[in-house]
Amino acid sequence: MNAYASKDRIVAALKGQYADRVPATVMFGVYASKLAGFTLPQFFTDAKKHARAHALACETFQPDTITIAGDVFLEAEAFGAKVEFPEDSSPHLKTSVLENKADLGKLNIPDPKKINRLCWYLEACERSKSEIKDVPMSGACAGPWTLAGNLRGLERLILDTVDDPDFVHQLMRFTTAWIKVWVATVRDTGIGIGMGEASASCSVISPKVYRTFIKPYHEEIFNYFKERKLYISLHICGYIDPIMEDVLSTGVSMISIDSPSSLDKLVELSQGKAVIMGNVATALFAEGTKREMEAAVKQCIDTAAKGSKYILCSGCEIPLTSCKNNINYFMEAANKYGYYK
Amino acid sequence: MSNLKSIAESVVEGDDKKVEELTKRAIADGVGIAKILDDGLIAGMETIGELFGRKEAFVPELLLSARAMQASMKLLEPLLVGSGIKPIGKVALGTVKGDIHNIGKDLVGIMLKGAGFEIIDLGVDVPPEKFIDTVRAGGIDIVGMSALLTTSMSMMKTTIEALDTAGLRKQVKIIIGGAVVTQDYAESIGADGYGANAAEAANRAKKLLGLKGDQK
Repeated sequence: MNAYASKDRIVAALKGQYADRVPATVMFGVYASKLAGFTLPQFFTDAKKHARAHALACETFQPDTITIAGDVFLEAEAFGAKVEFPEDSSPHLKTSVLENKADLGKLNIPDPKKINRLCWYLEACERSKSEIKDVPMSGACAGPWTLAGNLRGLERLILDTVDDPDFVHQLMRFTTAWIKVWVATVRDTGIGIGMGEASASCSVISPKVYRTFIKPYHEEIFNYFKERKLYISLHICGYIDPIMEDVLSTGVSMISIDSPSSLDKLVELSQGKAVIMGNVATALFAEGTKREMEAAVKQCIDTAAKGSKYILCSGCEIPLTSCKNNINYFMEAANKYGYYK
Repeated sequence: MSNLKSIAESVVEGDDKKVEELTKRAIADGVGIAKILDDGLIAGMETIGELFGRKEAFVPELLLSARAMQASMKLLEPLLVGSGIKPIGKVALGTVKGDIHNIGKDLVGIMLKGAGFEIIDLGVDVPPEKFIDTVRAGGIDIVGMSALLTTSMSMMKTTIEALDTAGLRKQVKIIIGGAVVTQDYAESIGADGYGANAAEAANRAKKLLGLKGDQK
């Protein structure tokens, strides 16, 4: 048996120290629901099942930390967007609430505990906390830009950055104010929290858009919570190499990157300032061979583990079509290559 | 000619008002529609596509350029109908099931339209069956699939397999693209072509039908 528990590995990584090996985890997302045999609508509306699915993922694969993922439209729905729950894919956004810019004035920051699906998520976090023992866990919330895009429509929001920059700042101030409330509420369930900015990668925006319209709000959020001794991580999907320096300079304490981004570059730029998570390609969890998975894990460890402050992770949420064997290959490879020399 | 060059430059700059104005002037001067399209709009979109390929431009710049192109297309489309110019091919375009991102697909659609294709836009979150039904209905030369997410990328493979099982695969060429998609991935799932950006997608589409492509 391992002398070190998951918590020891995570704490060591956060402090820049060394436990026995590199901590490892997978963003299970919707796959957890498949593993547990629940339908996706059940997974996204039944807190008990949501927690059970994540607990089962922990029991099955023994990751060193786990993210209790809600869905990316949870917060947009709280502001009135219509969300659909298909049987075989993640929830979809059916309507934007800010097709008309003037409607921003009508939006108010709600009390999270009075909104059904936010309560569902809070309950899922609480249940996970009591059901999953000895594994540090984290909740997830949409970042200010991603939420702004979900409220306004991402394409419209991008065009707004040119046509009406004042409106974009107004909307970002609003989503930032909401995140301060929501993060604190999720944190009260006793788990950590990460902010997901699916729409802030350079696969979608430009460095200029990041610097002008997103970075100031990321700084504000990280500083606000740092003053309250609360450290939140940031995950950005896709390719972020052109904005890595900017993201690091926001004061973010933990950053999780996807496989299109360079782990090498991030390690080089961070110089131990931020804890890094990433970035095994998610496609490998569905379609990779054992050899490919081993090679990808080894490469990540060789690139990032030397100075500690690193958690081996999938680049993003793994696909619904992921297979158990491949997740086992990932964890086996972490055990094979992850022990600190 | 200088007017066409200005149109191209304004497309690159993403200045929709200027492109609209210059297009009106070109039409009034009796410049041919094909010339406005090829030497103005498409030339501009190809330049922004190249900048995008070199990571000197990003999706927001592409969106602005596409909007500028559309402003001109609105003026040209009614004239195209009357000009007797026939579409060079028909493309069924969609973002695959499980993925609701429309930006990449829409950009490709605009470029393909500009390049002379007729577009059947199937929308986002398109299940394999919908691609199958559309191909089965006939007249489709190319199926174009888009995915932004790594989590939905595998649906491209599923869709190609479904077309194969339905006995329709050989009837059409398949081109794929999206932020996470690569040439290697396209080859590994048996697609016929891959477009790294919207301009390249239009060129590849032409090439797949044996028309001129990959050149200005």
